[in-house]
Amino acid sequence: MIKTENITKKFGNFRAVSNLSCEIPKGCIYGLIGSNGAGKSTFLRLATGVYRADEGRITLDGEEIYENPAAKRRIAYVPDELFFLQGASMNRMAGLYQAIYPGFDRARFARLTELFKLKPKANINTFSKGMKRQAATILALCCNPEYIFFDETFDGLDPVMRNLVKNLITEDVLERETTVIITSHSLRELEDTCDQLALLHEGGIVFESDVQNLKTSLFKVQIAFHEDFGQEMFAGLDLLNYSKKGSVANFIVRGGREQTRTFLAEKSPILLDILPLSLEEVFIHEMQAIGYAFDSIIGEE
Amino acid sequence: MFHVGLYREALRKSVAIAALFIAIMLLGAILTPVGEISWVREAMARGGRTMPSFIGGLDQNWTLVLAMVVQAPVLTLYLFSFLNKRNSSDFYHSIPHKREALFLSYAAAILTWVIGGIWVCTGIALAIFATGSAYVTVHVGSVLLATLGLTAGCLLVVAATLMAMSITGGRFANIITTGLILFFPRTIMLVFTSIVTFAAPVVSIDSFGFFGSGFYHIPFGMLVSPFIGLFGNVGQGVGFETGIVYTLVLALLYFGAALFLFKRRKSETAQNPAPNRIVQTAIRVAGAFLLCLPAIGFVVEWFTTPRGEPMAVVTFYVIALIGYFAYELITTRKLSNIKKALPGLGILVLLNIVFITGAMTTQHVILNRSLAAHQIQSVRILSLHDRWDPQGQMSYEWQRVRMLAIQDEALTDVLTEALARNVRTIRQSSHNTPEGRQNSVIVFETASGRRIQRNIRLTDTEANDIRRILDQNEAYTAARLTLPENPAELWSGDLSEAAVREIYAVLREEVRGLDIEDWRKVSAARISSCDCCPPVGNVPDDVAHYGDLHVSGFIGRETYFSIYPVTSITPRTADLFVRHTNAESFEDTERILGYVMGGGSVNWLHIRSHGLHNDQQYSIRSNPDRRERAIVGTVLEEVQAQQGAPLDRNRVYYSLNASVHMDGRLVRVSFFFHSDLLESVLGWSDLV
Repeated sequence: MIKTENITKKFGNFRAVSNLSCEIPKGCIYGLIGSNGAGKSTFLRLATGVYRADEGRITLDGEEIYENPAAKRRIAYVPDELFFLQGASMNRMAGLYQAIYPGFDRARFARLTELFKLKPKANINTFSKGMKRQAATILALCCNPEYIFFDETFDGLDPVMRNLVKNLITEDVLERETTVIITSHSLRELEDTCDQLALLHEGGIVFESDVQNLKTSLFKVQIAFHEDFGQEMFAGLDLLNYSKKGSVANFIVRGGREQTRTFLAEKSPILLDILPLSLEEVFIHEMQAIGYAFDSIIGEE
Repeated sequence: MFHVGLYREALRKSVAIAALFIAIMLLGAILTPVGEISWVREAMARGGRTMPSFIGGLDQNWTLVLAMVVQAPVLTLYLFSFLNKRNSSDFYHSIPHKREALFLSYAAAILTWVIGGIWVCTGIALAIFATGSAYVTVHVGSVLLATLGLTAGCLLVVAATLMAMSITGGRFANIITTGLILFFPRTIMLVFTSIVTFAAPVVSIDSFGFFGSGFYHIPFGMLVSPFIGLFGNVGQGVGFETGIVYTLVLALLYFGAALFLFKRRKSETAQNPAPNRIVQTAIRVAGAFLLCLPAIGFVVEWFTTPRGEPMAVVTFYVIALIGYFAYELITTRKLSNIKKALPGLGILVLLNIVFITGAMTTQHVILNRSLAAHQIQSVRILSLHDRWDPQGQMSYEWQRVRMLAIQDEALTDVLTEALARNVRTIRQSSHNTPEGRQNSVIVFETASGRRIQRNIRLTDTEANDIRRILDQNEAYTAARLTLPENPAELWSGDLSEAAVREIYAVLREEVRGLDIEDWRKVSAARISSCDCCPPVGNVPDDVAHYGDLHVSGFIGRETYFSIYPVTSITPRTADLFVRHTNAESFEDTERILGYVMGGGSVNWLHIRSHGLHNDQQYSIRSNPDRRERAIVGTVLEEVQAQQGAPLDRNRVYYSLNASVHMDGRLVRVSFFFHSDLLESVLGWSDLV
């Protein structure tokens, strides 16, 4: 498990990560979303031992990560800005990784380069941006790490390759109980992959939850009655974002889906639809509930 | 602490650059000895020389200097360049190895290429030289010492570059900071001592010892001395033992500092010129301060002489200012940082004031330090006008004189008065060059054990007084009249070693009994010799010069080299010299002259008269004509008549020196003989 306790990282006067605490359990795929400058990459560099936190503590199964080769041996990191030796081929990079990571799996490297149809002897400089990402991902996966960090990894990958990478990651999680930490500025990239999501804003986590729980805890209700009605009719439900147009009311309910249906059905509505929410809608509503405007934080879609 | 995988990886990564430099040095290691051996062999075959060439220090392969000057910094900048880019810096900071393992493994790879290359090339050069030992004499100890010096220099350059790279995050900042770490302290010391010696010329740069010498710091001595011409030959410092030890110790300290800084370095420093504004300001101010040094020199000149050059001061300060802001702009690429750099100018101004004030204060302290004769217990004479160092190496007698602590009140009086006169002139006159033509370097030793070294310009009167006093000083005259007892090397032209040793033993004995003035006038006779002519010395006209004995060896750790002329003031030596020369040369002389008479060509043949017409000379070169063959015939008759007979040095006599290539070898001879015929046969109109 990766545990961060009130970590802060400053660059001059700028606080890139501020008093951040979180726990990433073993064997999960943990997504970090946030806009540019939210602190995602800095958090990853702190978690991989590239940076030392100015304040607070970050540990991997209780061990400090910074300047701890034993902890770092269990980690692989695919950064946003990839690094390859000048003029190197995939084979040359594999040689470098083999020299550095004792657990580097050459056989797996051969399998994966073939799977991704990357030429192992070709100069990586001749690769497209997406191919370079694939190359870096292959190299990281071949280290057989227990923890693997991807910074904006799906950017630049075409949908086919994106799925291939996601499948590989999922395989690793299932077979080897690898813990995966992925950052992205796009919620849609992560919603079908991650077990847990956290939203980073101005260096801190403003919201964090289990994805499955998120998806089932909120749902949208459309309801209408013969007689006129108001919000007070639904007292007893945990309502979010109530609106009414004509005789039809729309609102979001937090709670158990079946209990809510029973509660509403007892009031004999002429229309009752209970609809699931997309993860993005859940985020929007949950964050509104805690006082943040999702769009202004993510600033994308 | 060290990781073999990282080390191998670093070797692999740098192999192309390393191989390029090693190939150049290897070429030098092969071509230098092969070229030298071939050159000497051909010269011997042509008759141009008879002695093997002497190889010492870095003469074995000068391309090795590339290892320190270019290979070491380039490899370090290349292998550690990952520190300058964000992505590579992050990568290497994320790998499962301690920082020290990364640092030491990569540094070890650099040192393997650089130092391994130097020693392998030295080994190869020595091996090739060994195959031509008849033509080249290698002073292995001197070669190994120079190689060790170069190794120490390489270590220091690598360590300084690593230190610089650990605190900066861009290529330009790396290079500038490396230069500052390597050269800033020594440059400051050198300029300070130079300015003080300019402002107070009674002190010499030597009197600052460690602080005034560039030889202690091998890369500094190697790189800077040829440009400023202060320390003599390039590469002289690499064989200086104390310098090697100092450079090694400094390199180790720098390595320690570099490792400490590397461990503390933050990955985010990559692509930033420095980890913070303080370090950035320090680098910028230090660099600009070096640019201020010429201006400071002109300011001090302005204060101490009427030769003020205000335009030069302004120009150099403007250059320093441009450099100051240019560094900020080049490294940060932000125009707005010019404003942030402004406060640092205050530090720069302060440093200038401190430096100038320090130099002027030191000048005042030196000039105000009065040396009264009663305070002086003894003086040591490091140099007087009649000191002569043949081939740039100190002679045996001067090595001994320098070690003498002379206790002589009259001498102390003359020297302290001369010094006081020098100081008065410097303080009072409008220029700072005291009267006097004769330079001397004196160390005054006080009763409390203090040693004060001073340059004193002596007037002719003072110089004559000193000479008179010294000539009466037993210790001094003994030092000047005692020749080395067992020199390491002793030779004289083509004479056998046994003969030279016998002659030298007599010379030692005779010199010991000489009047010092007599010996001085011949021992300081700047004798020069080359491979194609007999030695020429400016001995006085009333003294006959027969040849020279070359002597070299060690006094303690110091080397000496002396040339002693065999002249008529040491008659027993002269007779022995002539006897041995004639005995060893007779057969060859006869053969050469017969060969020339038969139409053979000569490299050169000189006939010189002694005791007549002021030692005039007749020369034959290449193929002699009929008349020249006739002259040679007369000489042959006289030589045969002379065989075995002693030379009467009170009569007119002749010397023959010849070099001929015959029977597949070079033959060189000298012979002394009398002749009643030669004067008319030569015809004095042909004398050259």
